[in-house]
Amino acid sequence: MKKNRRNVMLIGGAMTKPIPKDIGYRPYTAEPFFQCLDSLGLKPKDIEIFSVGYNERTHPDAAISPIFADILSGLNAPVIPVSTACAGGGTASFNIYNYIASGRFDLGASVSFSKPDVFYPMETANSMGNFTDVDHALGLTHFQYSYLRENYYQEKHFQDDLKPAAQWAWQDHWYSRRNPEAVLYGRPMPTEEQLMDRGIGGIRQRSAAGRSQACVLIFASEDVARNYSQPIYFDVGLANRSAYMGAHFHYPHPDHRECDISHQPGTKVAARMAMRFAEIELEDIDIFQIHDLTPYDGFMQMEALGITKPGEMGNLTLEGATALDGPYPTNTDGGAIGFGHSSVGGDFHSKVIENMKQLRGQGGERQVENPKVALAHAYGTHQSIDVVGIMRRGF
Amino acid sequence: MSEQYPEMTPRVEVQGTMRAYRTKDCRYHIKGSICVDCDEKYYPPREGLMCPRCGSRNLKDYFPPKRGKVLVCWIDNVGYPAVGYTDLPPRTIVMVKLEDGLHVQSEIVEKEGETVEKGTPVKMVVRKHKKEDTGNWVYGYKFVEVK
Repeated sequence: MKKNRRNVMLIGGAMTKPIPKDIGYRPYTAEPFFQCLDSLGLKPKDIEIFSVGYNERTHPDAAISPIFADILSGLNAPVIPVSTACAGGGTASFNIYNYIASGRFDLGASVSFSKPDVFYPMETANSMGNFTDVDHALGLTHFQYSYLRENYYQEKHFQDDLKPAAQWAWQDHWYSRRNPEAVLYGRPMPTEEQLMDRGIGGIRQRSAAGRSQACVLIFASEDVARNYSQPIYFDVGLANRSAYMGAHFHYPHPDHRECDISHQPGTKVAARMAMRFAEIELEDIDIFQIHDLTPYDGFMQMEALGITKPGEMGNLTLEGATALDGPYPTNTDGGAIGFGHSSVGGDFHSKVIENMKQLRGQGGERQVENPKVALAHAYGTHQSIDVVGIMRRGF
Repeated sequence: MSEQYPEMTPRVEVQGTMRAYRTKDCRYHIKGSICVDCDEKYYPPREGLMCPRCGSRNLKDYFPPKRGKVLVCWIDNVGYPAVGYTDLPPRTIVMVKLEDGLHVQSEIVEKEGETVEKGTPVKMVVRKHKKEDTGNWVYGYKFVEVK
């Protein structure tokens, strides 16, 4: 897999602000695209290939490629749509990465959008995107998947102790109050009492905040990237698992026989792939941007990456390991809890953009000291699709 | 069926009864699959597919035991009930480990809105779920505590 491939570099990225706008998804998505091209001095016709991540669960238009050829003015370029739920941005980036690495294209755009005002919101909470045949018939939903898994992990490792989760959530909130792009920017910080609340109020303080978002990443071959300021090496891995939650107790692959719902072997596989492409080890990574719809999601993903044994990430968090000055600075943009969870619109792309800022030293108050390597992670349909990107400071 | 839809309706088949019909063995009997070559059991069924463990395509229907224990529980009360269930009390959603080791996600009846302890023995029952687009009631498995 390593042979005959070229290095791929990220040369620019842009995202929409978390401000509701009275516009449809087409100009909403076009805005960061043109903003990004302007900053790079590029024209739409310069982009040779596009991949667009969207969420079929939340978007009714079926023919995405001609629509986006129109939106992005890529009339003469291929547009590859992908619908892999919240991991869609990562899958679109995986497409562009491989098209450029293969040598067939030199400049590509990975686009993602989520503007959930064109569908009935309850549908997104329904079973579409899970193992639909059975789950839809029995009214089993995304939310149920998520909270069953969280409860299982919590009971297995922490019993009634909410402190580790509250600490992780507090950290996300703290970063988000220092990130003007975050959906909770400008809001008062939650109190310790609110974060430790066992009721619905507390659950909401410790859970993802919803937002609309559209993002664009522009990738180039190494030769082309030399013409742009501060390009960043980019590699990405992708893995899939069964979409039925009960099957997450019975992984047929021999490497995962001992795993259950509280382990994330897909993240492990995707991370291994990305790190192999990037020729780095876990110890080389300076920043982690993790998909954390709840703190327990964050713990599970960090454990899957190999940072610590299953069940120990909570204690590490309490010890400050994921803080700005800790050994594993995590979710410096505020994570899903503070920055916001936009599904495919930014769950992967916004993390890549945050890492891009960090590697370029543009993190402001959230800047990690002298980072060289950063990781971005997202999953889709409750850990059925996992994507991990590795970014390294370029020349 | 066209008599039911005097106006043109796109994708009529989605609103038909076939989807519910196809899943009837799962809904009524928790039908899964077993690999004849390596004995690996699966739910949902993998008919027409392959065994991910050994690669065999020699799979046959498998009906697991209808008893098990609650592994984890969650009350569905955060404000986003499933479509078709919005008029019901909060559902007690559980993951059940069946006696053969397979896991199924379901709900506990007669204890709606109440937490069920881990390890509680339960058995499968068939109960009313929701109305399909056709207006038909969908029935399927749920679980009750074994006293």
